[in-house]
Amino acid sequence: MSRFKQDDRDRRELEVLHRLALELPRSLSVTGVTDTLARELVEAVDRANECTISSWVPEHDALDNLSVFERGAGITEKWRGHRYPLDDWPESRALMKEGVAHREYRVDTPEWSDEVRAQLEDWAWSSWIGLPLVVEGHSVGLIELVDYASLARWSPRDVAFAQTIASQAAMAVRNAQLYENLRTQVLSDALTGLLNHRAFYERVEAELAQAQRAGGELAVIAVDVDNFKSVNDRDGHIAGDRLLRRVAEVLRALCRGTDAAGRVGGDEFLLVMPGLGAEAGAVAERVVDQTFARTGVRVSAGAACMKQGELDAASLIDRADAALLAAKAAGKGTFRLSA
Amino acid sequence: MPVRPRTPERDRRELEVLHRVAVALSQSLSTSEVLNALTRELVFGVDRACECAISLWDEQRDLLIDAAAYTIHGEPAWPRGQVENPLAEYPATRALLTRGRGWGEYRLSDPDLTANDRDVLELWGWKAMIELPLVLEGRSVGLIEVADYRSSRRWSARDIAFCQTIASQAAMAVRNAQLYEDLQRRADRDSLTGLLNHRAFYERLGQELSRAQREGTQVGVMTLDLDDFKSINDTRGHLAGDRTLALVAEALREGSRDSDVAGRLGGDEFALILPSIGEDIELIARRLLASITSSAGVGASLGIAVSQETDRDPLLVMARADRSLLEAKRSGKKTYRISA
Repeated sequence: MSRFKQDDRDRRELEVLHRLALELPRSLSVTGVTDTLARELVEAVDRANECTISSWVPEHDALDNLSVFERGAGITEKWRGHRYPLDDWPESRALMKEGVAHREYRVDTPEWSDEVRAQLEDWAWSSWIGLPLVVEGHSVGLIELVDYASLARWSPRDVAFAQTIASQAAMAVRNAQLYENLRTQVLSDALTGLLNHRAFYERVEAELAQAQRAGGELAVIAVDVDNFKSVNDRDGHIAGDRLLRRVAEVLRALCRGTDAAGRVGGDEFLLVMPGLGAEAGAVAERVVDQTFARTGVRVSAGAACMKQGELDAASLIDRADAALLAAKAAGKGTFRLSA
Repeated sequence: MPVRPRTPERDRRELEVLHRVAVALSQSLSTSEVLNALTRELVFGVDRACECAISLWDEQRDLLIDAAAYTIHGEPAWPRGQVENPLAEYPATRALLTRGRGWGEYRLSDPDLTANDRDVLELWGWKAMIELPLVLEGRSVGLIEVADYRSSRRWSARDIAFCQTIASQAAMAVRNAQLYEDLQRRADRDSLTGLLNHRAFYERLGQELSRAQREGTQVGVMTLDLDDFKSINDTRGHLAGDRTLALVAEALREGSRDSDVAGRLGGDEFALILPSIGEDIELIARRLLASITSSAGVGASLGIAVSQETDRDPLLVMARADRSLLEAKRSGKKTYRISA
């Protein structure tokens, strides 16, 4: 290689690393970072047709897909979030566990089962390199750089460059993970994992604004466990906590699409359901019935629907709360709909 | 003779420095660590830089607060961190920060240098210095100073442009650290009342207990429970209950000393840490009970414990305060008891 070409390539690689350094910290979401990383890897390595990045989930012995970038097609949403059990991909499991720097694979080697080979052929993967994404000495994910056409060996230079990029990106991925974890902690109720008080109110505010803009409907349902204090006093706080978690589980299961559930105090739960109007009473009834059917716990519920022009979360929640009190007064284990 | 590379050696070296800076800045999500790394990288990366200092701009108080510094000899010997410099004495710097772009240059050999600026350069042993704003999302948040101990010649446009490139590259790392630290502060707070939450309260009590041991002082702990809070929730609704809790939190903040720390431990349980407390603890307790009743319209019971010299475990001190609280409840509420 002439000095000219050598310098030119050095310089191009440095430019990629520099651009990556500027681009990666722009996002504090994990997939935001991995989308950028996948794109830059494909653009930096001539031979690559695709880059796939997954996170390793040891407790499920699986890889969860984070990002796929295809040359010419860009980021594709098709596989995002898809889980790959490592029983089907023992090679990848070994790569995650051994902490080796990289591995090279070809579709035509005998190691693949028939199913896996069919999958690889469907994806058009001919040869690829796998690089663990290593943060502070631990594998947290897998980067795969794929050639659709050639079975030839990958050049050491391509491999080394991809490794440099991967190690530079690792910290950005870690920072995004830390941020997302902390964010979850800040927004969720520690006992049940539902939204906490502040996060729920913020959510209702946002959904109200959205519903008023789009001319949609919106309902809030307040739910309270009947005689919870006596459970706590009789069976202790641990039993009480377990009961709250079971109720939370039912409420979470009743949420669909853009619905959200929050625990906003001791035994007080709230649901916000965009798009729900006239049916709010029926849904509140279902909440009461389903909670009893699935957990044996009796709850009361009160529902209120957004009024025209209403933007204040507190006033809507207040009416749901008043309906809940009316349900309690009517003998518990039932629901009321606010006028 | 080989073909002359299309890019001069200097370009390449600058790219290498920028890459290193990026890696160094991504290592931490703490603002002070990111700023320290930035000062270090500027000293290593900019040819003439012998020292670099960063201070944060408090626009409302018209101050610069020292935040980080690094020199060719390593960490500076003088204390850094909280020194405040009023900007009234440095109008050109204030104008630069307000503008949010450009730079300022100060050289000992410059005949137009003001006496004030000359004093500053001489005090620090700087022959020449450039200052540039640290800009986040279009707004100045601080000032970067890069100083040369050896020469007072003009800074080249290239040196200045390179400093600016590094500074703008650092902006994202600083922003991320600030976002993370904001979130951390939120993570320590109860979302309804803004008081410390359960975890943060116990952590803080642990710290205060070790400090008290070091300093030979005593820490007071109060636990509070509202009388018949459940009935507010049940008869007037959860929103009324929430408002009561927020008012109680407000009364705790108002009625305690500035150094005291209040927390909400769950439901209607509150607690207070009172560092360096003495005889006045009962006075504070009486004042708090009165102000909770008057401002939140609800009675409260209160238990007090004062740390002994051997107390290290927050749980044990809290358990003593809880026992006193129980006694206060039994003796008819709206009162306090103090643990022996």
